[in-house]
Amino acid sequence: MPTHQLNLFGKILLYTLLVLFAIQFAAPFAWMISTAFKPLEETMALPPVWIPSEWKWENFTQAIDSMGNFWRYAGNTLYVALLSVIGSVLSSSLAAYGFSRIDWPGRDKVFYLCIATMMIPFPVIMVPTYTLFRELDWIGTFKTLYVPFFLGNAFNIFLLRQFFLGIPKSITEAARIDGCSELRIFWQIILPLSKSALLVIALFTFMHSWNDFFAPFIFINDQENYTLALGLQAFQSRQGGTEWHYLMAASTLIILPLIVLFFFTQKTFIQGITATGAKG
Amino acid sequence: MPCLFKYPFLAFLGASSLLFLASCSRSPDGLTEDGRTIVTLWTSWAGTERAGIDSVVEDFNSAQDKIYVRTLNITDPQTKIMLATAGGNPPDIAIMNNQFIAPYAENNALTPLDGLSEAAGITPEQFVKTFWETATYRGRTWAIPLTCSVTTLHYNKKIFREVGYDRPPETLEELERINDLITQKRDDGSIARIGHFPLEPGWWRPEWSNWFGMGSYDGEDRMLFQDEGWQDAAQWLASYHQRFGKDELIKLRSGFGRFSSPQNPFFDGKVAMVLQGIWMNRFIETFAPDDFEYGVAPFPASEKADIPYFAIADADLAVIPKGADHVQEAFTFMRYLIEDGGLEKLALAHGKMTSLKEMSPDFYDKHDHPYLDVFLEIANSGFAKARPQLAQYQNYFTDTNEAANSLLYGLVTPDEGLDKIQSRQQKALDKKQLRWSRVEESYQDLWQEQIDETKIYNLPSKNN
Amino acid sequence: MTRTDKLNTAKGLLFISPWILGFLAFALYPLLATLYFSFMDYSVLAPPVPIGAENYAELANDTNFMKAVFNTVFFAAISVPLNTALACFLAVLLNFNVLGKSFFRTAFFLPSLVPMVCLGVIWRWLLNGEVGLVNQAIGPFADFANAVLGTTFDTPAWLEDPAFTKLGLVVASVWGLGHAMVIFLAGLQEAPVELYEAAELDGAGFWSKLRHVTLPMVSPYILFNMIMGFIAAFQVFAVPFVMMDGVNEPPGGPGGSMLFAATYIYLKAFQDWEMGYACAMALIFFLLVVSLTITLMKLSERRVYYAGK
Repeated sequence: MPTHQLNLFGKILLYTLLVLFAIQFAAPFAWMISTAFKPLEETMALPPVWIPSEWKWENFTQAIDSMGNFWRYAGNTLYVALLSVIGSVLSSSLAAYGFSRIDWPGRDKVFYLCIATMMIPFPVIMVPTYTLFRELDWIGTFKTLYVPFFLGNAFNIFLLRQFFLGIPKSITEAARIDGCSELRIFWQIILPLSKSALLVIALFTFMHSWNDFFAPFIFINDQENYTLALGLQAFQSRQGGTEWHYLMAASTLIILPLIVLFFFTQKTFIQGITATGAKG
Repeated sequence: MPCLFKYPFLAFLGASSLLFLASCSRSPDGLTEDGRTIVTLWTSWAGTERAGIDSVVEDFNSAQDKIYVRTLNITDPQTKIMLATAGGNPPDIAIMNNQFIAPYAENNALTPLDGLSEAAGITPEQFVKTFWETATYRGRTWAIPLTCSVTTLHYNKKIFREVGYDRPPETLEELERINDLITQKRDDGSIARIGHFPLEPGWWRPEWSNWFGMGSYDGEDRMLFQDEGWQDAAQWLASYHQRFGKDELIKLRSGFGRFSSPQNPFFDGKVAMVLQGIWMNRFIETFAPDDFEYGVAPFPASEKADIPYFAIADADLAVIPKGADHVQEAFTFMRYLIEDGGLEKLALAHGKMTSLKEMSPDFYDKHDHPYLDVFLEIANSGFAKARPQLAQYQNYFTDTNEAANSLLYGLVTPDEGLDKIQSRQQKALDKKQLRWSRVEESYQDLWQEQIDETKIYNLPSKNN
Repeated sequence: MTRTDKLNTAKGLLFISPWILGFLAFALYPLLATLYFSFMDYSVLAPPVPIGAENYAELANDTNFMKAVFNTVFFAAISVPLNTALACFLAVLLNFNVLGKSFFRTAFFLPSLVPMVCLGVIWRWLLNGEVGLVNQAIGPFADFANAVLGTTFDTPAWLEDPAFTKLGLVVASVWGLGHAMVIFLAGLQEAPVELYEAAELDGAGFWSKLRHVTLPMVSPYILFNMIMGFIAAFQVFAVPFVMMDGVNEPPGGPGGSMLFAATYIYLKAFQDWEMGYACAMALIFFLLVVSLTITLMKLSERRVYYAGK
């Protein structure tokens, strides 16, 4: 619907609404960043101060120091996230290929089963999962966080399958007639054609892994193995929430990489989400 | 088309899964570079308390060359230690609060220390009885109590003088009369200052019935929420909303600053009397105004009770979680603490008492608490008791907190409130008792086995 | 089965074998084990002791469980429709090809990237009763109403007053609707222009077009977003947990008003170490989630319009 269909009143209303909403969505960010730079007294000032009287960059170094081992947490988070991405891309694309480019009886039924597993909430299965990891002697290690991604992920499989189904059959027929194995078709034809889709699931997995709290909260207990999310939670829990300038500085540091990543991959990202919804 | 890439792909897939799935074996983190056994110690002590344990650990590490203690900080110790222990990845030593000994022991998450204590010649007689008892449960010893405290009445001397009092109250009833004298309301009815408020700090909410002569648990199979102690305590709690108003109290409390800050309501004069432990002195030194004057006295019991006062005994204890890799080495460090002056140093750093009966004369000189003698006397008086040992402690704590709140704010009548909590908590206790009756035999056998095993441990001699 | 069928089945199974392993380890086994443990007294460090249906009998009288389920359903029932409607509304606004469309889209989308723990920490700060930005923003309106209408509105104590805690959480959840909005935007762009033109020829106004063209066109997306929203809302844990953490209150928040199903299962399993009981609870909760989701799908079946199907 183009704007010219609206009369002047409509246009004013439209832009007023958009600007108001944009302000509401931006305000928490602005407040977070503003607080992150304030001296302690100003965080509690009434009426609120938006521009700190002095920009305290040292809040960030202070936050990093008092969070414990911030850089180590960041390294742990990155390590887990990257392994999760590798695992997810590998296993989900393999499974999606099996669910889309090979015709076998009962395939779609199994696929629905796969989709249905998305409905299982983590809290429902966390006790047995904990006991399983315990049997494997994995509690406290990163394996509890990334290994599940090596075993497929319903959401990613679903996304990739949509994409693989969209690739014309004719493209792979020739290779098949030449006697190429399915693995090679998958590796040399399908995957290169699906780079954008693979990037999407890589991004989603990365974000998911970076954000995850519940699983590390239960499976990781040694502080040296904390992820950023755990570190932040422990930090705020320890000081009961009063040194808001440090908490906001730490939050800013954790969010920042995600925002940067988003701006670099914006197009792929939005396409990816769009694909999620397509004929949901 | 030739299929050249088939094998590299398979190789890649195989290699990556091998790398990430099979490199599972946990690195044997048992030794330092120079071959010393690493003992991991988890604690939630932070700030100056952490600095205290660090310096003691450093002493220990440089006093011998077999064991190296490594300290790690954790938050939410009750949950984290259990998660790690149940997951088979526990620390060698963990520091925990006394309330959690029972739940941990009953869930088979601790190593019984009776055998090791025997081998090391450590006896209960070395410890203050109240504190030693916190380390035992179901007839076994599970921990070594370290730094300790008892709760006392901390009162603001200036405010007391303002209302014409120069001594602490001797009964709870007198305390409430002083409370009424001190409490000031503003013109709009809101409370500017209160004498005493049972929710500040909120840490002891489940225990108030003790000041009326009875706890919440008879130590065997009955919860006592409908007995006289709680009946009286409930009336007393309810008197707060009757006297001061529910909304006014909520408003007052929402204006309280954080505990460790200058806005702590005791420091900035919003509350004149609080139930606190020996650690409070540290926080007063750090956060209270320079001209802050406070006194410490036993927190008086009600006239109805047959005791003059009551105090909650509180201890931080060292435990060896079940499945710890270096039990013997861990215990060597624990023994160092109580036998070689480590604990004294720790207690001085924490500004607390130790669990030990006898201290070097130095300790009393060096200790910076102006009222140390009051605490020592109360600890040995027999009127100090630890919080109940309940396998469902967390549940009891949460639930009783909630009930105390509701009673104080008048959200329920005393009868109704006590009726509900009694039925809930009795059920919870019955459940644990039933469970215990099912597993008792096998657990006790298991524990006895472990005790016998560790009895013969050859601990390094005392001075190396 | 023909030979090709057999061969293809083998190949297909080989390709999906990582998923099969994952399905067995992280779906089938846990569900079966949950069922098994729910009839046990189990605390991990000792072998499970069979106790029949005791856990279920206790569950039937557990007011906290009822409270947790109520809170979870209450939160989901308010936040999911609200978020979906708002996301759809914002997408409709953006779909007017406004100037700076990508700027606005980014502004609405960015908050949905914020990690849960950060979300909890940030909103705990924003919802602070005294100096929180939210109360600073609505304070003047309350004052105005009080002055003009003689009412006695006060800014709520979002995190302390049991009547407001869940609403505070809803407010925080609205901030993350960007994901759903982007999906709606894609759906709107799929709607063929001819449909709108046809509607205009029939003399349809803005509202009429919205009602008769736009909404039916995006109905599959509404369903999709609602279902995804419900699945997420039923699992809500991190944000309320972080918002209530370390405030000298139990994790369930004041009056248990922030006790959600996931929180309660977690507390029972990993704080009280009543794993068997937690499993019984998890199972009942799971059945509830599944039946609610299926009901939602069935109810919407006739109202959702699939183009070209």
